[in-house]
Amino acid sequence: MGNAINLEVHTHCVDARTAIVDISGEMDVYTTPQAKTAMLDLLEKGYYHLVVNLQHTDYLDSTALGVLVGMLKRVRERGGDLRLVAPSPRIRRLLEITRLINVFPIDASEQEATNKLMQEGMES
Amino acid sequence: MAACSGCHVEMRLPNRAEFVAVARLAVSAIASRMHFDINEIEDIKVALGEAYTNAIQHGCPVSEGTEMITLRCDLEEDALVITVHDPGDGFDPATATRQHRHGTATLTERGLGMLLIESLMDEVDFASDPDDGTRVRMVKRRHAMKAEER
Repeated sequence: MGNAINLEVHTHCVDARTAIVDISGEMDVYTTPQAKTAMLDLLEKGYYHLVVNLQHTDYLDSTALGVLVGMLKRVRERGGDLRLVAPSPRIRRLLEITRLINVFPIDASEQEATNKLMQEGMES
Repeated sequence: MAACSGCHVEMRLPNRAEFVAVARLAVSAIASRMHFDINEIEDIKVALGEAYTNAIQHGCPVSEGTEMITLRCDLEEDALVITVHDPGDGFDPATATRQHRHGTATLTERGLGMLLIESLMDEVDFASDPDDGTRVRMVKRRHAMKAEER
């Protein structure tokens, strides 16, 4: 059973410090390490402003939430930020239950999230 | 009446991460046959996934792949009762949940997982014993039955 069956992670860079992580499929204890590796790789390369697009994420569990919280802490320690894009109503409900809805900035589109990250960068 | 009311289904699956999705699929198929609605099925899938993940990570972490996790579904007329049992050393569920309630700085995945289980299911019981492992029993009632009660 390969990870690709359940999860696809694509990253692309917007500018020298901002990157987008598109996550499609199911994020659970088996597949989430794939997304974590991709995000850590971006951090190593100096991309501390991350947009995590959940528009095509069908399922997400506490392992995934834990990884996202860990990434948020890491990028903020380095003066960056992590914004979530378009979580489904199901995923939004899990964020509400865990109260992480108050922790993650959430946007409706990649463009909106990218603009806000760039704006934050100019102000800092 | 729910399909197969009074039946039970029992599966023994390896304590390996790639089988969490298998367990989720099996239980969602059972819930679908019992005519749970789509939101209830999603709740059940998440809760089961969390219980199974907890069993893998904390029930028998040293010997991943060598122990088996038992998943039992009791199909009652108005409810699905799911029991996840691992043969590990057990843990204190109260401590794990409290870790979450202390705030984001001390968030743990186990604390998040247990919070999700407790929030998404109608009844949850944890029993943990070094000699018998950990047993998580979760009950989800069908929405239609809950509406009739009101």
